[in-house]
Amino acid sequence: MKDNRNIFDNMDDNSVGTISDYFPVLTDKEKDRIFLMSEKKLNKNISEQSIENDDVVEIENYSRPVWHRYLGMAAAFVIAVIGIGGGGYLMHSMKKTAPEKNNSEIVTESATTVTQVTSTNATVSTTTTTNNNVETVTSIVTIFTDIPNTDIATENNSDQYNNTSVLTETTTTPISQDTGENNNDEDLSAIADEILEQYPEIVKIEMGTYYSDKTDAIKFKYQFDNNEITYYHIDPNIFPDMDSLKSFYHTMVTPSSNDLTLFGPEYTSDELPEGSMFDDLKLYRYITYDGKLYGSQDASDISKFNTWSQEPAVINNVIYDGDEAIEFTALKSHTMFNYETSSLGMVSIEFRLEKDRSTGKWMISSYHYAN
Amino acid sequence: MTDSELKVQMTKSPASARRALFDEYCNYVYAVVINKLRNCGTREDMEECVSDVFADVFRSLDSLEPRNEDLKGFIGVVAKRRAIDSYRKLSKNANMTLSIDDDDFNKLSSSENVVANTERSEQNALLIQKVRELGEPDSTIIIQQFYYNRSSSEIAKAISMTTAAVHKRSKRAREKLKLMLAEVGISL
Repeated sequence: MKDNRNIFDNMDDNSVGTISDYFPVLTDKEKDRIFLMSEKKLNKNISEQSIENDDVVEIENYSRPVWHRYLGMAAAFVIAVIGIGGGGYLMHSMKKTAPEKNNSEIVTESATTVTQVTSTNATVSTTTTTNNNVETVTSIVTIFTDIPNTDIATENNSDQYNNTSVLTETTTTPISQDTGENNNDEDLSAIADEILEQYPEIVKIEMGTYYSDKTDAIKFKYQFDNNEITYYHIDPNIFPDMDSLKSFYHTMVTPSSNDLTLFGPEYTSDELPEGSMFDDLKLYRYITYDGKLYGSQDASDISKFNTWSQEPAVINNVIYDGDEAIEFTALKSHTMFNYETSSLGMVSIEFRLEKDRSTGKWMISSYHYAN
Repeated sequence: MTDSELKVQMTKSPASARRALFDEYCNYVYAVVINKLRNCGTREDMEECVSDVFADVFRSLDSLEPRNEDLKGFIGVVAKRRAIDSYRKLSKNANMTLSIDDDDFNKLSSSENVVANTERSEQNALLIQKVRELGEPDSTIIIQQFYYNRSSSEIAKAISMTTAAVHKRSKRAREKLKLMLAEVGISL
């Protein structure tokens, strides 16, 4: 495989996109470093351009008519009065229409939308809060009035405005039980968190560290590296045979070509005596030997899954069939103990989850590290 | 991120909009750049080129016509051009000879090129699919080692494993990949 370094040379555009999506490589440190370099280059370029254009730089003073300022202030005042009055009226109405408090589980969700109306220099920020089936809409109107009289064109013009008045408006309306689009991510995140509880079991099966009996072992040689490979007898009380192991695994993970190297064939001691060269090119994790189930452990993998992060899974790439989500990815971090450095490391894994259409059950179809 | 979304963010805070754009596309740009410079540039050359790409992109943001389109295509084109420029500079510095078989010379696509490119795309897609089928952490190890030219110790640090474990897993994953590819008619 010396030539393997060339197999990824000159990938086409689509493949490059796929690789960057599935196998992001840059660490936070590298990202910060490169971003800083980009910003420096951008700033350098801007300052160079301004030096080159010295002969054409001219600041033209523009005097805004004074009445504009007073008009703006008056408009702000009118909106503030309407808002406060309206808010008071709606608060009063809310008291009348608010449902009685009960002991049922409280569900709270928030969605904020910000609309910037540049022509009037006003920003409307709307926050929707749902609590016990009551939707509360809070609108914050921010008016920008103190516009400088001298306008000098700069790249960053966001600092030209100062907020002078803030108005809040609250309306209360009952909503239906139906979960909206904002609920979906929370639901899927909860689904993902529940499914991912099984991940340590999946790792145990894939790494071959599942309930094996160390006293009952058989050894072979692997023809590629001539290394010894040891298979341990899997506790028959847990998994009596290959089918039971496979069935259990597929309650969590959808069948894939990964199965080809996980679940091996059946051998007898006559055809494959202990100590002989393993005649199959594949390195199976599990084999059946003389009717008993054996598994090889990945001794090299000494870093172990520790605990999931407390943060909920981040949901992306949701695919819907009508209104029903049938596939999505969930990003979740967990700690791993590194025995070499005797420290805990944090890794993020992106899982793809698919809904089994026949049973309605969510299953993991693949996963990969996302650094 | 679309150009319209970016414009909205730019009006609020140009600096945070640039950072958001960078965070979304930095891995993509890095993948495009390394695809071109893998065999002639150092890690520093690649980071330099990625930063050039984003400096170019940031400079062009004001002149972008709003079309509500994903910016990936535009950024991809800028990244490829910059990567080719860097490739030429680095090759010149290293006194390397550019082959007429290089992509840079395929300016005019003949029908043979189209067929060859399609075949190459299909083969690449198959290769990535098989790498993904290796399962984790093997697929990450293979891609980081051979696509991104990362060392075993860097990979070990990234996925919280020991260097020896990465080395061993890589060796076995390569053998497994070789078999999987052979099954679909791709020989290494």
